[in-house]
Amino acid sequence: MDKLIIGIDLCDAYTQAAVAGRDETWVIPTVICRKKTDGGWYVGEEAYKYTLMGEGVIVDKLLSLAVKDGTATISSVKYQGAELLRMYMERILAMIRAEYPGVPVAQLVISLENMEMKLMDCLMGCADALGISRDLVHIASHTECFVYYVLSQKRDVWGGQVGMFSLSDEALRYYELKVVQGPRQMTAWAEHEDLEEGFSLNVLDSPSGARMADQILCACGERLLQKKLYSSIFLTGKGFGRTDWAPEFMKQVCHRRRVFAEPSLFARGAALKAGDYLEERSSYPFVCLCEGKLRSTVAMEVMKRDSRIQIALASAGESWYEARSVLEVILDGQEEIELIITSPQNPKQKRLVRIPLEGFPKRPPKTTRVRIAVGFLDERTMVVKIVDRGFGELFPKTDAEIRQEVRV
Amino acid sequence: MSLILCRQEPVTSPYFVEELGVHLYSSQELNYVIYHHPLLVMEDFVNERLAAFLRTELRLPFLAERIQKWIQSRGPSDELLFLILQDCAFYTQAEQAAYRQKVAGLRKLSSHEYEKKRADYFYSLGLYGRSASMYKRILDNGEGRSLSHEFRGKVWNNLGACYGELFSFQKAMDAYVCAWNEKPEAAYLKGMYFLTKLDPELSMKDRCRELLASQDTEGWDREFNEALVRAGQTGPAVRLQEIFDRDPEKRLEGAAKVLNQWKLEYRKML
Repeated sequence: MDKLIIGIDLCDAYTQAAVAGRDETWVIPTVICRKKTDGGWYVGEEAYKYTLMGEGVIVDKLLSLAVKDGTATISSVKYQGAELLRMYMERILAMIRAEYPGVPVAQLVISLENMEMKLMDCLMGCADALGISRDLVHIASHTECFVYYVLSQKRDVWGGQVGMFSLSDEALRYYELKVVQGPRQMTAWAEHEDLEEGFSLNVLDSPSGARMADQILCACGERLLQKKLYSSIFLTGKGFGRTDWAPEFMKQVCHRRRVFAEPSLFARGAALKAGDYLEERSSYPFVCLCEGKLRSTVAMEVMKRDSRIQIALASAGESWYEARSVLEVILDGQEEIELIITSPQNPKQKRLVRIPLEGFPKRPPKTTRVRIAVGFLDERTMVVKIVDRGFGELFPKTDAEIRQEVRV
Repeated sequence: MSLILCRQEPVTSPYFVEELGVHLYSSQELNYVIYHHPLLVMEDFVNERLAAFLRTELRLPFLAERIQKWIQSRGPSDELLFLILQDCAFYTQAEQAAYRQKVAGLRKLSSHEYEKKRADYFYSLGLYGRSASMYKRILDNGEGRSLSHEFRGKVWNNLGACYGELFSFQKAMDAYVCAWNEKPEAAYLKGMYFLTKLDPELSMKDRCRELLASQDTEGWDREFNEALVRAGQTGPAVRLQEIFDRDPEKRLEGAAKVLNQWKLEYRKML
């Protein structure tokens, strides 16, 4: 192996890691502990071990801590959540790298249950601190990793609808995927539903608890799967590490359907996505519309050599976190910037958003250059920044600037 | 109404247009200068230096090569201006056609009319020294030609205005007298009258002074005084007042800056 392609599923309770071309995955509790005697930091099972032996102080729920800007005090030293998360990530990566000495990280995709900007910024900061170029690090939602994993299977697995149950200590989630063949390209629509019926996996330790859990899943299955045709059903999460505790549910989902259980599906999906970044031509020629992805295309109409063309500022299927673009245009009598928003669901229906250039200096036509920069705060909120760039020394620029949030 | 997409042109060494006193940082600015300043660019604007700027800074090597080949084989031509506008396509086809007509119209003028237009244009840019020498050239070259008295009068008048701007009041007075001799016009008398106001040591010729009686000098006085008041309330006078309102140290520093600025401006006029 000459390059390391890593997928990490990072959750508050467990972290799973997969490396492309490797069958086994790592499953590590998302905890970090500082040993009292030598001041060393340990993660996962080791962290539990030192804590139980009374030799260390453990911190859990590292993601929540980082998102809340929380702190943890260990041996009278206060640590920021982001700092603990960085140390945790550093050790996880060191553990993976230890198995591939001297092999550089070519791509790393981190899969998250919830795409929160603060957490994503924090993880990118971790990459900086670990000396991994930001170009090599990407963040994807669980839903997107589910799409990648499923679409890496044979076509008959995803030819129709695909369903998936994810059971972890934290939540019970249902995912659904449908691939639609459009006139130009295929679109993979995926979404998820948080089910209120989630339970602690500790209940599976007793026969009565397991029976109850089985009944809960059966009720969910009945509600979600009935009257729908599925090509396949997937089961993932630590809860489905084994399925013998849920005989009734298994009987229900396996009825005239193919069922696959893959406890590390998100980590494997992340590794597949990471590997795809290295391909010259994507092995996944789909527009993927799911959590973490833009649902609409934002474009502008501009003149290029006497022809009117549409230029995309952000495209549907692009990661909203990574989607950003900058372009410069010259105003030819126009006093507003018009954005055209279209959805792949209904490409003929366009929504126009007009941003008047209030406060911009009045100049003759073709003598005002404006810089338009767009970025996203979340998958529905785009930030547009328009800056007056003047027209060289002929019409010097001013401080005029507009910042507007646009719902897409 | 539209938005024009800009090319990526990371210009590091801008192109300096001395007459306008501006550096050009993009092909759009170059097109603007060509389009809006035909009288500036119609003579020797497109040259090797511009071709080098197009090639290295604006990354337009094919256009640069075409220009160089044209200059080498056929010499400078208005076609080169049209070629730049066409290649950059910053202006629409209709705008380019209008520009061609404008240039053709200017080329149809007689040589002295064309020269006067250029001199008037440079006067509008504040390049009084340059336009004065052009006006003189028209008058010198036109000696043997049948330039009308009216035309010569206008040229002398404009020359007087140039000298006035350059603070050469005696020369300005002489030019206005020549203008009057070519064709008596009240405007020329007015010019002379204002010069005596600006420089009280100047005096109008007796013949001209006699003619003042028939003119509305009260109206001219009013106009002159209003201009004086206006000048005291705007632009440099206000800035100067602000400088002198500061403490002595900053005042001197500010005054030195203004003086340098005026020197630069005056040199540019010459």
